[in-house]
Amino acid sequence: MAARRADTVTVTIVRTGGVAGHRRQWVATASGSAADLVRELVESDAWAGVGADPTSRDRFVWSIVVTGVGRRRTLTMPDSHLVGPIQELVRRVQADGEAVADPGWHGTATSE
Amino acid sequence: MTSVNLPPTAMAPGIVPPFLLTRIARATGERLSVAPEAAAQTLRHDRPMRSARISLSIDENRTIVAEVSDAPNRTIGDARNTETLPGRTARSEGEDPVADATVNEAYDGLGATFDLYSQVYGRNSIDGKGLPLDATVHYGSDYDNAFWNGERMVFGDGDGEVFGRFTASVSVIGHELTHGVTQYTAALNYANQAGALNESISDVFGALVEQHSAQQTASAASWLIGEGLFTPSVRGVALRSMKAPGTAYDDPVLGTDPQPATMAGYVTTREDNGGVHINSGIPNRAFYLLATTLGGRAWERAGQIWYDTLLGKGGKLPAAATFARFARATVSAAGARYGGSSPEADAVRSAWTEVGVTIDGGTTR
Repeated sequence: MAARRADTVTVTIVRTGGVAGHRRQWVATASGSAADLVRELVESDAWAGVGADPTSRDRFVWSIVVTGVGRRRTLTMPDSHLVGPIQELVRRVQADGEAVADPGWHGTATSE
Repeated sequence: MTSVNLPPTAMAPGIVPPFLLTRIARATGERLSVAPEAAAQTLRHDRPMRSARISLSIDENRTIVAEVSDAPNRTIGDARNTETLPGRTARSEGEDPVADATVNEAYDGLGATFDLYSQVYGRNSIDGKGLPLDATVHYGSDYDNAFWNGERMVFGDGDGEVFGRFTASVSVIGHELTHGVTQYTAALNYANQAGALNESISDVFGALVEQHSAQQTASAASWLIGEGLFTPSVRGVALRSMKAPGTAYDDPVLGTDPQPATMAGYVTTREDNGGVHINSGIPNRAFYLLATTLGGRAWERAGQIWYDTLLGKGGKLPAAATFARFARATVSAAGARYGGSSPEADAVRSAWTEVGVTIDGGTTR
């Protein structure tokens, strides 16, 4: 059974890697026709998985998380593949969304 | 076991503007276009075969002595704030400095890195065969990064708020070029522990380039990576500290330096290719401990042991080497060069023990 569609769509961009190794996060929401367009994007070919970047070092790794589109959708891609409509979405969320300060590290610190 | 959780994501007020999304929708049926680098990679490289330095002197018998040594072959491109590589050539080997300080910093930083590898370890460039050193500066717009793409070093100008230009740090230039050296030697994977070792090796030789260039001893060195890259508004001194991982910055925007100094703080994550820029703090500190225990110039014995390890002189390193496996190789490499019971080999064992890495395949002795 499909989840009930939310009125707004939330797009979270997480950037990790880079020579600095900083984790940065930006969040933006869309409603109305804008939300519909995000929903179309996650169903499009542009959202299809892309390959790894085996030769680059210190490039960013991008993770795009969209909620409010039924099931939560996540796309992870290397910086070298960030082009076209996905890149536009990322740039716009970075520009107009809210940078989440001090997001902490999304992982587990294991101790002995 | 401690958990570091992502804080709950706040619903942000921003709205993705409809005009952008219209364009997205228009493009949704299309395949992704080819990244600019892919096109650049097909370009042929027509280069002089090899560069060399010739010095002339007269010996006691009044004979002219000509000495030929390896020399770099640098080309700095200017992407002019696009993401197109290689960019317009701004300075080639042997040319005088240009008006653009960023171009000159890249040129000089590549030269300092070439000199460490050539003069100290006898390595002629990245591949050991005089590979041209190519770099591109002014990449992208407000681009907060520097990277190695498998063929060249690429430097952004920074956003001006958190980061200034990435060529400002010699250790970062050395770090990027060393990714090339690792690619041509141990070819360590870029994920998880092997990836953190790959990163750490770049930090180690990046720091050594800076120290060698300034003729600094281990005790006088800062052991910082990327000092001077932050704008004055950032509360931090550098990207990383090899001496005290986890202390390089503590800033409201950037957060706190997440690097662990020992295995007790090892971070398991899927982000950043498995935390390669995080867990590198552990082998970084092991190297710092080795270098300061031995004292003097870190590039001499400590650096030599790490370089020998990279070349497989402590046994061939698997591409997926763990910290423990790498540690074993450094002990073997130190033993091969200085003797198994030498102060150097002892200091290597102690360094790994202090950061909590159990040396693979045996005890620490």
